[in-house]
Amino acid sequence: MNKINWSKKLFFLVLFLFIFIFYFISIYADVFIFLIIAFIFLYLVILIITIYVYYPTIAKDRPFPKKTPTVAVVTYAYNNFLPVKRTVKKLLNLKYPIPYKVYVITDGTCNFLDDIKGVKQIIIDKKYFIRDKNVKSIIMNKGLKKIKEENIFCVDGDTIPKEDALMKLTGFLEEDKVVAVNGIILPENKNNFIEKIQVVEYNLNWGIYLRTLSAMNSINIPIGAMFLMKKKVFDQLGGYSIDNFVEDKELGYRIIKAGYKIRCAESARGYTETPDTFSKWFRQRTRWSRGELATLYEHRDVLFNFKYNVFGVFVLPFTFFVQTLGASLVFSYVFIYIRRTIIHFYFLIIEFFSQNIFVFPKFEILVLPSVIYVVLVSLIVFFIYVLLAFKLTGFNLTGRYVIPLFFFLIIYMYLIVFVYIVSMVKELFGAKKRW
Amino acid sequence: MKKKNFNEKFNKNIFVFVFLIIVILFIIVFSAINFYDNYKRSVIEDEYNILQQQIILDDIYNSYLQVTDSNKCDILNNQLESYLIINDQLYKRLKSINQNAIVETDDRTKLLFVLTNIKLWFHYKTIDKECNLEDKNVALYFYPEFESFSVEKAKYDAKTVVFVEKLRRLSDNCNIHSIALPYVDYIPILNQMILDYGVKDAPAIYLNGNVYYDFDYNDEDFLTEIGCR
Repeated sequence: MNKINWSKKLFFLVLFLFIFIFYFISIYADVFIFLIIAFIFLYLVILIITIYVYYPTIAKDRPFPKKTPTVAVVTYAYNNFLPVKRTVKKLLNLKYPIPYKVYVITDGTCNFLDDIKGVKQIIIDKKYFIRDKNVKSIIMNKGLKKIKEENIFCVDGDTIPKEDALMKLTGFLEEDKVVAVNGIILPENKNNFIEKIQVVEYNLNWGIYLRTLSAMNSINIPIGAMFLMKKKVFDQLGGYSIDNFVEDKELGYRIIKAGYKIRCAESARGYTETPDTFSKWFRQRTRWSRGELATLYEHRDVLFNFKYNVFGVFVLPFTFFVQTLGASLVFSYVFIYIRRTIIHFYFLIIEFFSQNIFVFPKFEILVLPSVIYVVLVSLIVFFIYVLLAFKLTGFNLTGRYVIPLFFFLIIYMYLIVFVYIVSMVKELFGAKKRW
Repeated sequence: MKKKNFNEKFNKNIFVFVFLIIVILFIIVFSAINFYDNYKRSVIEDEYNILQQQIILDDIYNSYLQVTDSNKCDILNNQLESYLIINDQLYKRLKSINQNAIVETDDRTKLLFVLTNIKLWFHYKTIDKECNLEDKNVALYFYPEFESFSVEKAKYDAKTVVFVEKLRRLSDNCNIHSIALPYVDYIPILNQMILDYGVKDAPAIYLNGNVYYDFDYNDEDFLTEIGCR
């Protein structure tokens, strides 16, 4: 029987209660809550813009090393056969000055690999696939032990790196203490509405956010979809955690704790498949959020720890509080106004029917219009952020993305908050983890 | 700003720099809002002062006309008409200030609004008494006031929205001018009027010595009662 981790439950219970206590307080201080939200939002956006201007070269191309390091290009296949075949073919055609090997770590059932020349298959026996553990971590750890190259270029089976991605990433590993490099991951599928929203999300958030964290030496994830890492350090850190379902993030924490850095190369691009239905999206994001919370609990000693510099004292607490406090703030603010609107319209409709008279409702009764001034300033600042973010990824905001952009800004954020709260509840009650 | 190379340490002063930017941004935004609100408030206060002066002047004019001219009622009636129209416009603007301002109109502006309206009401009463203004109906409109949101406020807001619309339709049909006053007890003269006129709730109108908390603007009996038919 599994031992119940009471301290973990208490951690999430406190977190959860904190959000709801904050909500009840905020009912009586709605304008104050709004100002806090505006302040946090503006701080984050202006910080990103300032760093963008202050560190213009942080994620720009670095010179390729004089002595070319050997590299193993690695992917895995045990539950995603369909996209892997295409990925493997692309991996064979990467630009690199010296020959490299492409390894596919599998459970031995990928027969199609026999037809592709130049691919080395590493088979991991299924007896090692432990139930309720992260199988990807298990097979990657076992498979990577058999690889002797200096660097490993890990790519998910559903991610297609650009031909020059590996070349662009390699230069960053020359910097002192840098042991892993991320590229910019963008969605490949852009057909339906949920996919288009994710196109906006990836272009708007991921590139510029990683770039900012890089400047603060605080990237805490070698993004599993596509990253380059020094093999020696991967081994030194003991590989991926098999207990964590966001193994890349957990590895990122250990990289930082070991005193190393992760960088981001803005011109190294990879294209990944994003969920094409809401339920798949919800499952993916819940897994990420739960993994993030579990990792945070596991490495809670990093929080407010001066030993880890900006990451420990600012980035992690700020991210942590934006995600928890932000969740409660946004939730309570929206809830307050939804409640008010419902009550207001309830009485208005009763009055209309009882008096048999209709008047067009005036919304200024519900929202303090002066709030609009602050919102306007926030929007101007945010507009600058959007321009910089799209410039960084080279995204062209055409007509087909206008509605997804507005959906992303107005509704998607609340869905993220919802996912976060659900994840917190699931962690609190120890719900079973699913891939 | 000096450009930094990638291998340099992160400059922690950026955190303070960004904080200061936001503080300055907030100061600018709130100062601008405050400045604009104050400007609008001072303009409306000036206009209320002018209205007050005109009412006083009218009183003096009335005293003068009593000894000199026989058609004083026509003159006073016309002037009263223009005051009521001005008052109506000022009320709408004051409401708009209340809705748009970061802070609600302060006590000074509100007291000026209330006292001017009471003065206008008494001025009308005086002229009506002396000249018997049969063609002109002036009502006192008492509206409810709440500090912050509550279920009760929402209930009264809905009631007031409908009441105001009915009053507007009644005013159009029957040439009734309304002088708006808040239903509050902390202004002594207003409180006294509320007690004397027997106003027990708001929204309500006080018209021809009666208080109406609800009315049917199409009801013939009601229209006859208020002198509209």
